Amino acid sequence: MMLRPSMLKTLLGKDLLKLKKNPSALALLGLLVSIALLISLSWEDTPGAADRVCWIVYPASWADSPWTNHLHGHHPSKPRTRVAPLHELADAHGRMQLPPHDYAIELLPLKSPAESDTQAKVVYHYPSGQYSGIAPAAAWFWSSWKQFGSTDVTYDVGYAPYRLPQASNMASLIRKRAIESVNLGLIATMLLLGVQFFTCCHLYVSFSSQDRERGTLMAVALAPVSLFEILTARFIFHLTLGVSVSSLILVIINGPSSVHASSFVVLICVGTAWMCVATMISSFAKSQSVASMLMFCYMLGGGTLFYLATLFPIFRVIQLATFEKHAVVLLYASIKTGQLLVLPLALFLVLTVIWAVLATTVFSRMGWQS
Amino acid sequence: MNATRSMSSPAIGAGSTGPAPEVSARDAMITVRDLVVRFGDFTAVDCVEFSVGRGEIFGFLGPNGAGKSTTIRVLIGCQRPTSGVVHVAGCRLPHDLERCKPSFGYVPDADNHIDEFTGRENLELFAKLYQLNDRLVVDRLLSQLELAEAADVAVANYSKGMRRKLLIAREMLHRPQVLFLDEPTANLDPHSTALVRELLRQLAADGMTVFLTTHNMDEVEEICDRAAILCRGQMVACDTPANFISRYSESKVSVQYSTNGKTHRQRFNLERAEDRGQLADIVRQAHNVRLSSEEFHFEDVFLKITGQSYA
Repeated sequence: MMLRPSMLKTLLGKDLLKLKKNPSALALLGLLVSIALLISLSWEDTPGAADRVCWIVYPASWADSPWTNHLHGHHPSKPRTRVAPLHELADAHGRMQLPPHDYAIELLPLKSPAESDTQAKVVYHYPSGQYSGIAPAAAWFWSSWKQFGSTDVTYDVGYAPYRLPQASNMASLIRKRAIESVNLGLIATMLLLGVQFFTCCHLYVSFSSQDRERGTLMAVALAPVSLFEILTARFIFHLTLGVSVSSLILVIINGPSSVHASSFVVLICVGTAWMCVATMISSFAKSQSVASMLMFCYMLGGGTLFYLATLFPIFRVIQLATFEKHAVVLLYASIKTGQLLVLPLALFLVLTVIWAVLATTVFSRMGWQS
Repeated sequence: MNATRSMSSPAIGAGSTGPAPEVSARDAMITVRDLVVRFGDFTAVDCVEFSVGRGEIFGFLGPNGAGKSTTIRVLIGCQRPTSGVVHVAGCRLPHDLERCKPSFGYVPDADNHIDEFTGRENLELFAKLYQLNDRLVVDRLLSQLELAEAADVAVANYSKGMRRKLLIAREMLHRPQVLFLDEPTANLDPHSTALVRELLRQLAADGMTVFLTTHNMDEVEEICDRAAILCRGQMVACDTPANFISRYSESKVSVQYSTNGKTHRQRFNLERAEDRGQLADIVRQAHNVRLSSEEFHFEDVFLKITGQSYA
């Protein structure tokens, strides 16, 4: 199990040279980056600010008041804030709704509309434990309050549990472009999973099965290189490639300031998991065509399982044993909130270890001979 | 272990003439004892035994499907034998494969280059894997095998012969103690064939053990010190090419003669009384009799041995 840096360097150099001489793979990677670039350019706001919005919500009776006019005219783009009367965000019962993961600072009059509104209650709406997310907007709000000199209004600060929107009111929220940040997060997740799948699974299988079919893998394995070194070099190469391209896409879509370390942890885990699958596939296939078929079966099997899970509860249990089920959740959560979801991650790692042990065993027994 | 003889089970005419050169245990670079390889019910290699000494060129022959490639796969550690003991360069295989790797080179029957790389890049990759720091080795081998001009061309554009030569160059990079070659001169033009044969002779003279399979019997006659013939997984004979020929040669003559204005041509084996009688009659009765002796080649030996084995 000894790893020699010189051998790893040589094997990595070989893979890098192979990639450089593979224009179709480079073109596809370039295409994925271009898609990310197009998405970010088509976005109205700057990519960094497109993540979350803090809504300043005031009662309808305050509309056209100097105070709300001031808020409308001076609200900053960073932190991203929007000012709206309550009725624009309210459901049929008049209760305020928020797009998922957005924040709100809600102003509630403490007296009836007939009387003069000299007192207000300020309510913060944010996901539990994420005050830091609303803090920049709150800081602006209070400084603006003092600057405007609203000394005649007394206030009280409260906290309200986070509320998700109902479907009936979604259309109006979409018109306000508030929901679009959620879509971007999903697009980013899918794009990153696509990149990881392409580099760590498809390209891995393609390179490995090509090497095996030609006999190059056997020639390398008969040189003084251990099978462990061959596998390690492959893992490092494809993981580095996948994470590099994914990081680029993440930065393009979300902006450098919104990239969380947890996203990299998830990307590395997902890449490693898919490389274990790829090692298994390329160990069973002696030719590229067979490898492609196995790959197709894997994808088709996954798709079928996900579809069946929507119909029969038993398949939802089986679904828990797939990487794809957890990968989407983990990556989306890390991109949107920077959080690492502990339970899915633990399950994911257990699955990865099982696949890694199986893949390494199969590779050493039958995966390198032509 | 005393001197070993490269003989195995049901030998045809084994030991009937002069003995083949023996390989002492100390000099043996390849030792195979009771090698059996089975795939399910099919026995690909059946109790094969032989030894090959240092600096020897050993031909491993047999018809298609005889078990040659399977034996080589065992000898390079790619195939686990069902039973038997295999030593290459002092390492027991497949257990000591990692230790044995620097000691041998393997030229397979189909080339296994990275086609996108140039010839030089292919050789440099393997030079690095063998931790050879001397960059001149690659240049020297490229020019030795007359590939220097095409060194910076992608291997995908090489001819079959050039690919073959590059393969041989690659496996010579680290100067292994034992070189396994599966049909080394297949697809080579006569000039390149002569070049490779001369190269193999030089390597053997420098002490490298060369183990080759070939279907070119001239090659065996020309360069091999010893040859073994495999048939249906069993080694049926092992000797020097000269001994093979002297042991299995037949005195054959070609006769051209005329009777009743017609010209006839016939071959006779003088070792058979019936043929001798017929020939005597022709010489007595026919006109314009012309006799010419026929040379007996290693190919005839091979056909005779494999023919008998299959019969």
